[in-house]
Amino acid sequence: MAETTPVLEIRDLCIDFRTQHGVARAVEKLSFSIGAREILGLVGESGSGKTISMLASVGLINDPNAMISGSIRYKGRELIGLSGRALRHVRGREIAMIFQDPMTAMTPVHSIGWQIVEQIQAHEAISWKAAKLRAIDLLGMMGMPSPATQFDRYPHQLSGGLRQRAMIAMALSCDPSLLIADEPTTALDVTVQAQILALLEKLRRDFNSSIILITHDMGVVAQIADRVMVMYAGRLVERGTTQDVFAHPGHPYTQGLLAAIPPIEGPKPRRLAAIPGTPPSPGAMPPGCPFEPRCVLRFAACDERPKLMPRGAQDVACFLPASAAP
Amino acid sequence: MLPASECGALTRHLLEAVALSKRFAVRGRVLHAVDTITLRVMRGETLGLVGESGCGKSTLGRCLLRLQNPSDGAIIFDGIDITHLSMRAMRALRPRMQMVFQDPYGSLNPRRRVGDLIAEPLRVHADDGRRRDAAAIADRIGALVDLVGLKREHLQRYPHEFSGGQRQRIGIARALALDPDLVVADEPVSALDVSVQAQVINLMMDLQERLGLTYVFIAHDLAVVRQIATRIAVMYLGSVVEIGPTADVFASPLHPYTAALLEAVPKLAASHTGKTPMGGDVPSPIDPPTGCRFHPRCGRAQLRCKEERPPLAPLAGIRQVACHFPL
Repeated sequence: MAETTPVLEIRDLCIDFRTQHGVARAVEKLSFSIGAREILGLVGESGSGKTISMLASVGLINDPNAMISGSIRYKGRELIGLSGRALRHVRGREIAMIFQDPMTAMTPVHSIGWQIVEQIQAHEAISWKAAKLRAIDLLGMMGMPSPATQFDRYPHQLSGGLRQRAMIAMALSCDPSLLIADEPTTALDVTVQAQILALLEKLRRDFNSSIILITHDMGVVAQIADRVMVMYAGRLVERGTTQDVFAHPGHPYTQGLLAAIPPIEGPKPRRLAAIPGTPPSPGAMPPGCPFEPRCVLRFAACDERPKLMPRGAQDVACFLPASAAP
Repeated sequence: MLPASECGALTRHLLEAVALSKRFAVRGRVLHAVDTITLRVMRGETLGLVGESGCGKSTLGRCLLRLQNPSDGAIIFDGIDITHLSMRAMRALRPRMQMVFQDPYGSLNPRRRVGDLIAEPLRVHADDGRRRDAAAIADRIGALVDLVGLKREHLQRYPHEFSGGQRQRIGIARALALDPDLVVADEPVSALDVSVQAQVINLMMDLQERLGLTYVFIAHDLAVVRQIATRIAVMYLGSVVEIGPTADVFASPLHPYTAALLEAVPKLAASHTGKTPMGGDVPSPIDPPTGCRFHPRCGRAQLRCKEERPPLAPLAGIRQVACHFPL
């Protein structure tokens, strides 16, 4: 979708951390782009590198032990190497990020309205009064009941769902063209999750936003993403349209992940198809394919590291010939 | 296990809650965390307790084991009314009723080795007439480690050296150390990644088959509960709104809330259904709505729902629903 004019384009992003035991690679050669009005799902288990790669994309990694290389272009403009000041103009105004737990992303000592106004005034020369009107407007658009009243409330006075709506309102206050949502519904109950997912779809429709949705929940991705990228141990192992990836997953890990989910409808398996073992830690990465130790289909070629290559309708990082793929 | 004569009549149910309530005082007001719940847990079954956060499922689970004392009502465990049992009498029963927690890290002492952690319940309950010497304890630990799929060399390690899934295996080994009849598991897999979650669910199902365990399985993930539970109780604002065999409840929910909950679960078979999700949030249990607690969010609500609270009533034989106008 709209590959010709990517909003964000990432090439060969590597993130290394200096540790006591040498350098640990958290993300290896991540490359992808997201087009206008696209919802891109980034899935993987905890520690797969999905959050850290997105934090790096917006310059939010402060760790002096982190080494970031590669290229991150926002609408053609290189972000890596940009000064903090220049980056602040992009961040918030052009690219906004929302997090799993709004409680940690908001300050408890100011009302949610105050925080949204502060955000607007940080990026625009606008009066308090005008900014307040816009904030109330935004809260209303995010589905907050009686937004003028909610404006004066503090984060702890809101339910989890309303808090997440307030944070989305804050993220959208400067009309960014890219929204990075990191597990936005993970802390929410399932009925509230459905409301927030509907809201994200509305953002794309009404605000023309592109959305990168980071989640571990395959169901959430199936529901709203156009394309999906699967990460494992810091590497992209599969990429394709949501329809293709769910209908015929190409990588044994994607296949295993889908099979391990207990079904919510249809016949119930006697036992779930669990993937044996656990993901490798960044300090102890297998020399070959990172999934090799857990893979039931491994063979001699897996001692080397596979590259992401086109196979069928999607891209897969696996040596298995297409005919033998799961 | 106690001799049959002490168990009272051998009933089909192992555990029974009768009009159980738990109230908390919050800033001078009363919060009904568990509101007059009556249910039975059958021997050898898994009763799934589902509901959104704050619905009282964890409080109910803790009350069933008397980790919290109920405000009202009774808990009958294997024919014994344990509601007002003394600490001492409870302690004698504790080996038979155990709990598995969501965060095994929070319930495992970080300064003790795994071997000691699993041995702890055996040592604490050394005075229960089943006196154990060091060799017997070592044997039992070895058996438990095999049972939950850990390795013997793990016994010398500390909790932080384990992944979440392995830590949950340690938590399960501890719970099973004293050969319980009943295990209440509070969100045991919700902190785990999906590939590891499947391992732990399979383990719990295997253990149930091998040891004849009875589970109360508390979870917010409906797909997980569907996989493991024989019967399912759906809670909303402190009450059970529907209870019945898992397959029936999932195939044809009777309560509008159950239906809305099922509808809200994202499906893998992608479908941009465009259905409008149910609006609103769960109301505060301090100030619950009148009548049926669900009526402000219910598309089928009528005047009667606002005025009169529907009791949990039998419907279609083995099912129960608390609704004036069931689906």
